[in-house]
Amino acid sequence: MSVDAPPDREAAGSRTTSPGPRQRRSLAERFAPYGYISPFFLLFGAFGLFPLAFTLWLSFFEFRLGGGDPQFLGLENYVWLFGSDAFYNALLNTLTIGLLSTVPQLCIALALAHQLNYSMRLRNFFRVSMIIPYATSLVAATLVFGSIFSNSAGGLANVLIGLVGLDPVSWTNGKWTAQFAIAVIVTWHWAGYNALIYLAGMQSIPQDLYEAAAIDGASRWHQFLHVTLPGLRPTILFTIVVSTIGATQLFTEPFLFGNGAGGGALGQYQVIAMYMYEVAFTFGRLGRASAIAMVLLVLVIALVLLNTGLARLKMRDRPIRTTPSGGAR
Amino acid sequence: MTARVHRSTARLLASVTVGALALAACSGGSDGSAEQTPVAAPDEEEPVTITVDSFGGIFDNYEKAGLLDAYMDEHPNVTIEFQETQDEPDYWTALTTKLNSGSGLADIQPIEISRTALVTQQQQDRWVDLTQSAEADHIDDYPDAKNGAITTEDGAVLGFGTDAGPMAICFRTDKLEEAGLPATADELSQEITDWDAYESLGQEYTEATGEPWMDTVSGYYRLLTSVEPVRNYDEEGEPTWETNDTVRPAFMRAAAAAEQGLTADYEQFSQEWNTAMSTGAFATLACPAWMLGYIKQQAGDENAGNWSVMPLPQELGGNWGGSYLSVPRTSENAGAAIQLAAFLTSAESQNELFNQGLSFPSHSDSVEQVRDVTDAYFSDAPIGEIFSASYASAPDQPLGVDDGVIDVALTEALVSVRTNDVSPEDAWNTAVQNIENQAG
Repeated sequence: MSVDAPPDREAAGSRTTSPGPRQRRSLAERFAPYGYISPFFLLFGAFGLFPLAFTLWLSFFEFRLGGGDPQFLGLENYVWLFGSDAFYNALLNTLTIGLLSTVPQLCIALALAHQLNYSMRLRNFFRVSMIIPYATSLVAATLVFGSIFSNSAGGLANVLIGLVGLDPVSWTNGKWTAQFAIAVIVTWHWAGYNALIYLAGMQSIPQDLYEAAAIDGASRWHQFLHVTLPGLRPTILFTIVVSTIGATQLFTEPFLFGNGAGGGALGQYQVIAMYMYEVAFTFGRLGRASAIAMVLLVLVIALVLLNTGLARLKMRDRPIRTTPSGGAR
Repeated sequence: MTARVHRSTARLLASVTVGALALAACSGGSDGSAEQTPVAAPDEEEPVTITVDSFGGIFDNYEKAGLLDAYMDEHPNVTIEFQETQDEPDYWTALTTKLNSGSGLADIQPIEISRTALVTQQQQDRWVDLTQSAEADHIDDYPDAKNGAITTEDGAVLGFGTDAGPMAICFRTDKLEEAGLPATADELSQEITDWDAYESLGQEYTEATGEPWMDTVSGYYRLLTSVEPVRNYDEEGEPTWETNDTVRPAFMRAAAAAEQGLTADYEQFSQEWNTAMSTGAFATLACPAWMLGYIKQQAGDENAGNWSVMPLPQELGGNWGGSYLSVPRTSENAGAAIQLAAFLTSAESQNELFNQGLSFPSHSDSVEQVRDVTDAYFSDAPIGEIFSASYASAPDQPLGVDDGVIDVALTEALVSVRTNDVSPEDAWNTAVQNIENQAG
């Protein structure tokens, strides 16, 4: 965590190297640090760890929302899950929507940040406006996008594609149209947020590198490729990890885009979190939903490890120069 | 009162908080004792606050009709505090969570009829048996079909009926007229003598206007199944949906109508469906009594007289929705709560609600007393007569714990026939597979 250790503690630490009765700290003093950090751990225990452990426990039981006592099933919920077509369908949808949203989102964010990193008129205005989609209520935004991607010919998206001579599309009914629409919502919401993170990363790349590159006759595109990208690599890794986790847990956008947790009549845009919700609260099977939650957790951890592992491999290839201002972590 | 208004923030919040609560709460375990001591009439002197958790506007309606104030005037020692959740599924999720934890329950909790199988089969020891209360006589005020759904195997009655949802068909008189078809309820009733006739008239309409005849394929399926003696389960509580004479024939009929383009491409209770009620993008829809209020709200005053109501063909009757007022055993004011519930579901109260156009009664006397009511908004249709007759001939369909799973899967399959060009046979097989997977 923080490296700003309080001076008191450092002093105390050096004093304990020469033990003596006068230097022995009182009990209260010794436990005070634990007291200070305990609120986090108490809250984490109550609202993080306990639910997690309880979910794990519940995933071995048959437990209906409607009532009745939990009945031990062993691994049956997991056996059911891995034999369920709807689960694989949801998994695949999560993957495709994740790719459809994360990749364009991060590319757009990079491009935006790169442009905003140059001095230009109204720069601060543009920088602030980046954050507006992120600050907008996701629910409100999704409902607005829901009417933009309306199935009727009068929806804005249908009017726009009508301008280039295409027939109206019933967005929620087709698999790819629905997933595309959802990916647009996700991208719109998160691109600006990621752009700001990239921008912050770019600020720590020393300006003289750009100047030197410019003197050497490098275009903006080459500056981007050879100065910005290498300097940004840790930041990019961070955003990829966060976006991957976000994509795995995607729920609000597809849930509100359609009408409920089913994700379309054929489950064409039902993602894994929606399937979990459907099993828990539409079908009332909390044990099975808990099993899905555990699988989802394992999936997130695996994806994060994969991402960081890949990135570490990459970095071993081409170590990043640490800049004096601490641009690289 | 099953009206599920479009999804809102509340739903999301509920999903998040309830998820957390469900986990935290489950450890409460069961506290139900099988035997229940009779609940005596309340003390009329001692001040008492009766809390209510309601959904879908049930208690909003009581307040609008002045019933809550009337009761508090008559019983100065009583204060009523209620809160409303619009969406029934959200309400149910929260309710079951509280039941599991055994805390946080109000003194009165309404229960929607589609949940009664779970309530009477798995939660019977969590609710007060009203036969063991001072208001036990009130139970006899209901027809068997209404009481049957909320009665346990052992004969315990766990709620007083509020409203009911007898089925009829609503239609757009102006659109039918434009299409050159008969446009009054009488003329239509002569024309529509069975479902085939309903569909062939629909074909004429669709050919004349190019617009769909019915609102949704799922609504039509609901209409077809509501009039049959059994639906997904038989009297013994066995699931028979796969082979009985109701579900598959109704599924195939509805699917065929969808394939012919007779149904609109909407989901029920979606925004587009709501809008279509005022634009007339469809001409007819399955119309339980509570749908009248929904239509008035969505279609607005400018459509007064454009809608009308006709009875089901062949004097059939059906029911969709309706609720009960129930009292959890954990309630400390059970006596007072039961007295209030009995008052709110009395014939006088139910008449008052109907006269104000808020809901259709389930009380036998009240059903008789509203027989003469007509509704100007619906072209002066004799709604009292239509709904009373439908209610009287509605079958007492046995319900089952997996009705929810079965209905969701079949409905989604039907929608896929309409919107994704899946063949009815494939859609049926998918539904069967899904039900076996989810209900197994």
